[in-house]
Amino acid sequence: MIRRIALLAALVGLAACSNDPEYKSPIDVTSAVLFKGKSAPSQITPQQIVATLSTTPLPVIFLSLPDRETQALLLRIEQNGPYATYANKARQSVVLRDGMITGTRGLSGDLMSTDQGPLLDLVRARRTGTASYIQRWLTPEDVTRVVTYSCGVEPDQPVDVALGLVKAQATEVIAACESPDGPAFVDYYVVDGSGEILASRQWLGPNIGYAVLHRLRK
Amino acid sequence: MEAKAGFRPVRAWCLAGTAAAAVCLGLPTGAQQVPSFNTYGVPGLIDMPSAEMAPDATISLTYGRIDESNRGAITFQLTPRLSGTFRYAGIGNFDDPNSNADGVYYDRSFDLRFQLLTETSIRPAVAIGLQDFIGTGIYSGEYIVATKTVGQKLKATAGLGWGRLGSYNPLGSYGERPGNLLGSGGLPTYDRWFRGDIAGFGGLAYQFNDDLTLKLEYSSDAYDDESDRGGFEHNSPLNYGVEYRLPNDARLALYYAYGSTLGFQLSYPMNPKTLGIPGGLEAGGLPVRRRPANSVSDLGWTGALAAYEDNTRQRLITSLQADDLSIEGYQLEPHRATIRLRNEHYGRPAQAIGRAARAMTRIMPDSVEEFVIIPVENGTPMSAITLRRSDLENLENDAAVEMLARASITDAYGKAPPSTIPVTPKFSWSLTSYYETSTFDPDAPFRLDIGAQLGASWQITPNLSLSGAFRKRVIGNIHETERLSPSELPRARTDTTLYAQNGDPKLRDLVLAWNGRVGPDLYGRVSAGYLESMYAGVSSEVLWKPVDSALALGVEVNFVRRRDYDQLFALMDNTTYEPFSDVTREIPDFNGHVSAYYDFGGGYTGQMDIGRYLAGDWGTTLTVGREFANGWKFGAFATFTNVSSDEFGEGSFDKGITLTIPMSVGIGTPTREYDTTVIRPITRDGGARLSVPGRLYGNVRTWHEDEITDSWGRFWR
Repeated sequence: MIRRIALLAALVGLAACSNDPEYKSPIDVTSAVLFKGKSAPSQITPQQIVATLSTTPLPVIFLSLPDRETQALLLRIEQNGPYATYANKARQSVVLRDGMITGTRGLSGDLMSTDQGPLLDLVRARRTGTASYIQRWLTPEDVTRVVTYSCGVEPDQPVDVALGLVKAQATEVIAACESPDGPAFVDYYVVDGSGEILASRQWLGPNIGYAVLHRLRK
Repeated sequence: MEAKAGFRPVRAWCLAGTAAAAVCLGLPTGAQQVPSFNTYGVPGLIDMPSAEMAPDATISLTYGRIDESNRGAITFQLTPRLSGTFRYAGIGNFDDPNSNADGVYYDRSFDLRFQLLTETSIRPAVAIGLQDFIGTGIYSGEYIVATKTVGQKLKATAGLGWGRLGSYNPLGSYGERPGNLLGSGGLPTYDRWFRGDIAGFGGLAYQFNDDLTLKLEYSSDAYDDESDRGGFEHNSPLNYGVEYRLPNDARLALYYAYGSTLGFQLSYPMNPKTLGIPGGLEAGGLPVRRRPANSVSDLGWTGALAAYEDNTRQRLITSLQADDLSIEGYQLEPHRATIRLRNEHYGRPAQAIGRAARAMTRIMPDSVEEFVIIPVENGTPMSAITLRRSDLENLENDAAVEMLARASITDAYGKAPPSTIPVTPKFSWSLTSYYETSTFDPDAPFRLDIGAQLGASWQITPNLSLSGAFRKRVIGNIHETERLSPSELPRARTDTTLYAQNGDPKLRDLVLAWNGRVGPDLYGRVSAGYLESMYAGVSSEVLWKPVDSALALGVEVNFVRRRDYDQLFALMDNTTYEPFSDVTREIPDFNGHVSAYYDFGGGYTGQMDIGRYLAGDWGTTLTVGREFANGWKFGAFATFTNVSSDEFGEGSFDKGITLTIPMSVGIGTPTREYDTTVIRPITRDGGARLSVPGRLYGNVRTWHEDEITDSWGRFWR
């Protein structure tokens, strides 16, 4: 009996052994669900930032997800019209329009898309006003959930920005958004004289929470 | 790095803003709470039901115990107002000829509940329920019940019960309630419903805090059977309970019941709409490459089209490999590129299509404006999804429905380029663990085997494959099954006991399968070999399914031979021996069905199969189902054949429920693997169908308009 139990333990421990990358065994899946741990927090050091900026000529951003205790450096890999995609080697990415996050991929609980035009206009202009703003996510059911917010935008104090290689005089802009269909949030944007967003704390939805973003090289 | 732009804490803002304050501190609004479940596994108090419903699509697993009565149940919230329950109960110390050696009486039963009125600020919710309405009747009872929330914390419930729920202190009586069974049990007991004694029941549930609920109930159940035939003591109609809510809405409750005994209850609700990681954990796809405006009309490259085709083919293969996709065929034209797309990875079709399309924007020459993506399954083109490249460029950051509105999905017949790129690996194998279960044997209601499985698959041509698996048990007790029940039909399924006793090691299956297109909107399959645990043979099928049609029609004809009980390579003749009456009967060589499949929309599906079953009986199987965009499905089926309920035996006719869960729910990343559980209360010989791997409808439908549209949210994922 003991031999059997030992054999059984070995069997359960046996990760599906196959030359077919898609093969998954139900027992292995079950054990993955039962025993998987939380991913370790990742922190970016100043040395990593210096190293990244010195090895690539591409625009670089620093992204932090405080709720998940994760930080990453992302490089711009593509530009489609006004939308720039920043990604890391693990193919996690965010899409920025003039510095505002309009989508994420590979972060789990991704922000799939936004209708950001009116909000972005106000933020870039550093003007007081209200604007509509739409965020979309997938639910676990794979249905797209759409939440429409009404955002009150207000410029605040001027700030000096010195982030990586980005140095500028800028203005802090606050956007407070609420919706009958989802939690309210407050975004902060640091906007330079040309209307570029250099840094932000932006709500990406109930799954990711807030993201903090700094542009280290434009 | 010094960020001088300081971020102020959010809390101050939340408290300052008037409307925002409540939202910042509260839960998402409008979320329906999962109610607590009673010992029967339906929303209720302790032993009595309430008028509450679980949130739509909730699947609750429950186990309740009162004295020596154990009740395990699975309840499906089929629609927002209709729920169905399957229950398996074991009553200990019960004097009945069907009780097992340990004196445990096992019983299976089904319930249906419908909410007539939803709760408003003025009126209570009102529900009507049929309990144990097609079983052998020990829990048979009906009720009408009302529940009203009073204030924030108190829920009051009152109802009228019939049958078992009208057995204590009846208020009156209406009509005659027959005690005998219809047929051999398992038929709807419509002659009893809302007849006989009527009694009142009710109670209160007080939510002490978020996690703790206190309950008091007046039960109208006298526990007559348990008192007469077991050791139950009914001293009081009052039951008291305390319920604790665990994370994920699981609940644990303890009861003091009927003035004499203790009880407890565990419930675990799941919901396909909320369980799992929203959008999944997997890495992102490639971003779209936008072409420079001036290069779109540049056709200079077409002078070397063949060279470009070779070059881009190789780049496409490499790029798609990183997305866990592959192509079997590729054709490049000056303005169009067509691929045969093979997806072994993504559980939802739109995600595979979206990833392939984005990869194509990065590789195709700039004058190529039209992408035709033809998904193939077993070498068979399933549909043609035509996308305009400029739409992909313009809509990458818009709502996914914008791209869907511009995509065209048509029949792929005659459109696919030839299969010129070999499938890799051509030969695949796996050594892994497996488990099997056997349920509802009164001697051991749950049996389990765990062992090792060696599987292999050889893709001989894109359309022709040979695949199979061996299994060796390491530990388990399914082979200890002894119960062989008498049958009045050829023993098409009741001999399963002999297979369980002798099949170790065993060849699970070994099938040579051809799949292909046999005409426009027509799909074909021929499978030959060891098709399932009990039968070998040849199975052939043709399916008609236009890509945009809610209706599909199919024909399947099978030739079968019984496999040897040892489940290795030997076959037996189709003559079965009936040990109880010493007669032999013939399983016919041929069986088969014509099938109609219909998609009613909103996730509701229906299927009707008419034909000849394994034992030679003729009849029809009706299946209804509900499915979700992420691949969860639940369904119920019933088979009615020309076998009388007496000939059929216990249960009267074949029926059951199915639950399909995509494995991606557990692991968080895409996979096409599913886990399907079929709960069939009783397996008999009537209405039994051959189990054939790779039936066409599911695979074909995956790539047709409905499923692609339903999963389109994943196109850009």
